[in-house]
This record gives sequence, structure tokens and C-alpha cells, in this order.
Amino acid sequence: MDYAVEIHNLAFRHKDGTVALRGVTMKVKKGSKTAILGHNGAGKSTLLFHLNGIYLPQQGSVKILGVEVNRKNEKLVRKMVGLVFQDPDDQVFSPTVWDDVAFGPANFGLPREEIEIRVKEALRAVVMEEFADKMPFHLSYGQRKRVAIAGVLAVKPEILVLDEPHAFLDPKSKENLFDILEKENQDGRTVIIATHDVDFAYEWADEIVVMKEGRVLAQGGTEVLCREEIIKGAGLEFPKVVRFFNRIHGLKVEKAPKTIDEAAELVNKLLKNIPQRD
Amino acid sequence: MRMEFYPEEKDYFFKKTDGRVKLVSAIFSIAALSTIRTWEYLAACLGFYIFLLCLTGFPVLKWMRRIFFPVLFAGAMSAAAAFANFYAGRQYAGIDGAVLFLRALCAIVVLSSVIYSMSFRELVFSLKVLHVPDVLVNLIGFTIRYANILTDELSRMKKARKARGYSKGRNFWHTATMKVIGQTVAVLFLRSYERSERVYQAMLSRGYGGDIRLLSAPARPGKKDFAFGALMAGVPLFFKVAEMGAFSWIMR
Ligand SMILES: Nc1ncnc2c1ncn2[C@@H]1O[C@H](COP(=O)(O)OP(=O)(O)OP(=O)(O)O)[C@@H](O)[C@H]1O
Ligand SMILES: [Mg+2]
Repeated sequence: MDYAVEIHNLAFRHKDGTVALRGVTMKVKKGSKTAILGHNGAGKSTLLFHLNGIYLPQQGSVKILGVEVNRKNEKLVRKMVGLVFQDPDDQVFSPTVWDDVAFGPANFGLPREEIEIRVKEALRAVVMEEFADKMPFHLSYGQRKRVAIAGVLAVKPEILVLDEPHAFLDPKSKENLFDILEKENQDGRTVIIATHDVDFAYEWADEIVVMKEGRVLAQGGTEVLCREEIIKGAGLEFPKVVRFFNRIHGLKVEKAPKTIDEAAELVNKLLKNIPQRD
Repeated sequence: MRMEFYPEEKDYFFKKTDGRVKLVSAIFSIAALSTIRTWEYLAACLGFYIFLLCLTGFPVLKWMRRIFFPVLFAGAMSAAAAFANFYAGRQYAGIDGAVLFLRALCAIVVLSSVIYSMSFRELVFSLKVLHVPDVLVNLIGFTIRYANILTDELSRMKKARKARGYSKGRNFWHTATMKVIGQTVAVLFLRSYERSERVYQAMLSRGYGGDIRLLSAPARPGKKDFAFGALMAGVPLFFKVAEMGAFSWIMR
């Protein structure tokens, strides 16, 4: 099995002494869609910073596509892993939207024509084309978030990492993000997100990692999000669809539905089997 | 007070003039101006330059608000120097002070108007083309970004405080007000420091390695640009040469 990310017993303490990670071990398969969930302060962001060498392991190890992350090859790793920060204000700093999206491709030495194409594509993907010449500071928070995402899409990294990409997006942009992540994944990229949106994770991901207090509480398929002890233990909530089906007593289905649509279909099928009284 | 580099402002001739030419002309002008000793010449140069700005559509009023504090500072320093000279019993202390002030004013006016009319991209490009070392260009870039972060954080903190019912005390010595101001300044620097660190990390994670790559190459400067640059630097240089007595044989 090829792994995009292999983390072994990773621990990390912040400068002020806060211990953020206490021995994280996890693996992410190549080409998979992974969602990392966990309460505020569980260590999700700290973990993601390790994936492209912004933080280097203080204990344990991180391997990206088989390459051990250390000071020597952090540049190589940064080319393989694109990271969208949680707060777009930390990431978007250029005088115009266009410049900001072009920043990554320019640093990686792409020729001018290629940069233009990529910036255009990336801005189109997040529906921000018409804002190319605007100053990022004059955009709304959600729009800046979309610029931040475009800035990393334009680099076309093999592994795409997004820290809470949903925060502050309106419903339409969320749907749009779903499509973007889906497309990036179909193009062969491994996609990893940290999120508080269990519904999204349940519907979109094929791998779930649940974190608690700097440790991995559980890792597995989406069925992880149906297990009460994990949901309770991590302070999460069941996805809505799961909650709905849990409430219907005595119902046994071989495969739990993942979306509202699938759920509706299932209910319709069940209703058909019930003889109608009149 | 953000250093915004107005990319969306209207185009005007002064702005359209090539940035490299403007920078070089500014450097020559300032070199000449800062050595002129005759206050009449300095005043003439200043008057001419501001006239030139008005003529080329430069937003003079908006820009003046920006240079208010530097000018005030230059004025205070020159006045202090003049008084010191006066009490030391030197002759022409007042005139020397005026010359000092005019020189500083000229330098501020020339440099700030040139930079004001350039976008961040153009500024970086011009510095780079003029073979300013990357370290220095980066330093300028980071200073601007850091100043922006600082003002950004400050305005956020102000908003947050207002939202929770804070209002300034009636006088400066109002203790609660002093305490809040003190805390604000302390937290402001801490927050800005941490955020600038994160901004830097974000730059690193998009492959930033310290060297500057130029994306857009503006067209080569044309005749108009050079003519304008020559005019801009030419007038101070003319007065400088005049002061050195080069034309005295004409007068004779
Ligand atoms: N720069 C920092 N300096 C000191 N402590 C930090 C720093 N960043 C995070 N921490 C601490 O590390 C722990 C993990 O933080 P982290 O940001 O990784 O959590 P998170 O899971 O991303 O939370 P959230 O869901 O709120 O984004 C927290 O206890 C936090 O207070
Ligand atoms: Mg976080």
C-alpha cells in the first residue's frame, strides 16, 4: 500500500509550553479523502503544520510520500504538500488577489505563461475571477478564504491540505468547495481536511481521523462517525443522517445512507414495501 | 492608515510615468536638493515640483494628509536646530533652520509622491531592476506588510473594545483609560508579532525562499517617461549648478 502521509508517535510542544500533540500515529492512503475531526484545541492545526515542514517533529517522525520530513528537505516537502491556513488573514498578504494567487507558482519557478493560466484556473475554480485586481483587504472574510484556497490550488501540489475550509463560507460556496475537492481528488491528489463539519466529513471523506487532546482517538472509514463511544468521547455529534436513522427503532439496513438524498431514497423504498391502508 | 498602494485609483500622467525613471529622477533630485544652501532656490524647486504634480493629475490633497506627520517632525527638528544655533550666538540661525527644513521637506515631498503613485508590484520591480539587493527589497516589502498587520490588528482591537462598551476617558490621565491604552499597546505588539510569524510561515509553505521573482515586466520606458524624468531631476540640478557659480560668467 502506498501512503501519502505516515506519522509515527509525533509529539509537539509550543514555545509557551503548551503540549499540542502527545504521540500521534496515523496513516493517509495515497489518493484518499481524509477528514480530521476533533474539539477546539485538539491539535488539528498543529498536526497539519507538520505536513509541510512548517513545524518539524520534536519527537517521532513524519513521512510524506515516503520522504522523511526534516530541515534538509523541507523545501521539497512544501512542493509536494499545499497547505491552506485556517485563517486567510495569515495567508493572503499580496496587494492584489492576482498577485497572491500567483505567489506560490512564482516561487516554484514556473514560467510566466504557465502562471497566468494557473492563476486563472484557480480563481475560476473558487469563483473569484472578477476580483483578480482587487485588494484582498477589501474582500469579505469568506471571499478571502476562497482566495487563500485558490493560492494553493494554483501550486497543484500532490497532497492538498486544508485547515477548516468551510468556516465562513456561504451554502453555495460550501457546495462549490465540495466540487473542487472532489475534482482535485479525481485528478489523483490526496486531499486532507480538518473540519468541525461532521455532515460534510461523513458525506465527502473516505477516511476519518478523530483527535482528542493531542492524540488520535480513532481512525477508519466513515463508520467511525456512527460509533457512539467515539462521538461521545471526542465531544462531536452524529452526522444528521446518522442521527435520523438512529432514532428509528428496529430498523436494520445493511449500508447506512450517507446523504439526505440517499436517506430519502431508502425511506421511499421502505414505504413502498408497507401495504397502504385506506 | 494602511499603506495601501492604491491599485484601483484613477490613472493619471504622473502615475503612468515609468516607475524606474521616477525613482532614479527622485534620487538625483534629492541628491541635488539636499546640498543646495540657498533657501530661495529650495523654495523655487519645491514650488516647481508641486506645480508639476498638480499639472500631472496627482491627487495632491489626499497625499498631503499622509505626509502630515513626517513634515511636522521635520519642522520640529529644524526649529530645534535653529533655536540651538540662535542661543549659541551663531549668525543666520533662522535662515539655516529654514534651509534645513526646506531640504527635508523637498526630500519627503519627492520621495513620498513617487512611492505614492506606484503599486507595490511596480515598486518591487523598479527596485529590483535598479539592482537593489534582494535583502533590501525584502526588507522594504516586509516593513510594509508588517505595518499593515499592525494597523489591521489595531483596528480590530479597537472594534472589539468598542463593541463591549469601552469609551475613552475625558482626559489623558484618566486611570482606566491609561490602563486600557497600555494593555492595547502591549497586546498589539504581541499579536502583530505572532501574526507576522504566521504570515511568514504561510509564505514559506508556498515555496518562498527569500529571492524575489519578477512576474510582470512593464514595457520599456518611452520618450515621454525620459522627458518627464529629465524635467523632474533637471530643475533641482539646474539650481544646484547655478549655486555652484557655473553661470556667473553669463551674469558678468
Ligand atoms: N502558536 C501557539 N502558541 C502556543 N500554543 C498554541 C499555539 N497554537 C496552538 N496552541 C495550543 O495548542 C493546542 C492545539 O491547538 P490547535 O490550534 O492545533 O488546535 P485545533 O484542533 O486546530 O483547534 P481549532 O478547532 O480551534 O482550530 C491548543 O491548546 C492551543 O492553545
Ligand atoms: Mg485549528
